Amino acid sequence: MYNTALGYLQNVEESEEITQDVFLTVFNKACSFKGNSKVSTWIYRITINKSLNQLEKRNRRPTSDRELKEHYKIDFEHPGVLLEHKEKSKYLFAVIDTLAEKQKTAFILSYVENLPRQEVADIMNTSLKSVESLLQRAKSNLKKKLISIYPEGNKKK
Amino acid sequence: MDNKEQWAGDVLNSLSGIEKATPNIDLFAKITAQLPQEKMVNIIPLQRLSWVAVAASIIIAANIYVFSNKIKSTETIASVKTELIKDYSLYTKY
Repeated sequence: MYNTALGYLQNVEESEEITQDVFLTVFNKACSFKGNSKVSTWIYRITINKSLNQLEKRNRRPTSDRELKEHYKIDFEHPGVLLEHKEKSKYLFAVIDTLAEKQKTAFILSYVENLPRQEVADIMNTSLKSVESLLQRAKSNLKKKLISIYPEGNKKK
Repeated sequence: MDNKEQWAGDVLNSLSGIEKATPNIDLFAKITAQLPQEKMVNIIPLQRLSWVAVAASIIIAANIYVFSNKIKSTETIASVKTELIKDYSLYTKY
């Protein structure tokens, strides 16, 4: 759950807070869990909701590419990314936040959390087909954003 | 494919081989410190329990009393019946 929260929030302290919060919620609401889904699916849903709420609290989603360039520090380094990809992944994490909620969730669960597509569909309470279409749209949007923030001067980073 | 597209494609693939991030070791200790020591348990006060015991013993005593009375009354009914039968057979002889 920490890894998922980190994918959304890109901040260690906030992700730890969310992890604590999720633990407490699971502890207190365990008796209300109906067993309609896997426990892990239930915990993922709680984590995603709390992370999205936290993002909403921040209210710092940029609206234009210019704002994106100005607003975002391209400095978040996910600790799990391979060393040779570290630099490039900073740009990716900077643009992930511009995605719409559902696309963001599908992308984070599939590529940051590395979950199988079916599990992503279960967590998002949707079909496999719609997860695949969300991922396609997410990738295409990310690509557009990335091209718009292409670091001129660094011909190939 | 121009440089920008190539670069964007590379960035999109930069999550391949990603491993799960793990939090600081002390996070678990922080969480366990926040959890309540034990879940709220409904404790019945001793005074209420003694009232329940008194009520239960009264009910049991009343049941025993009624039951023993019933046995006695069935015994007397039986003896009256045998007397009556004796009397009846006395008269039917003659």
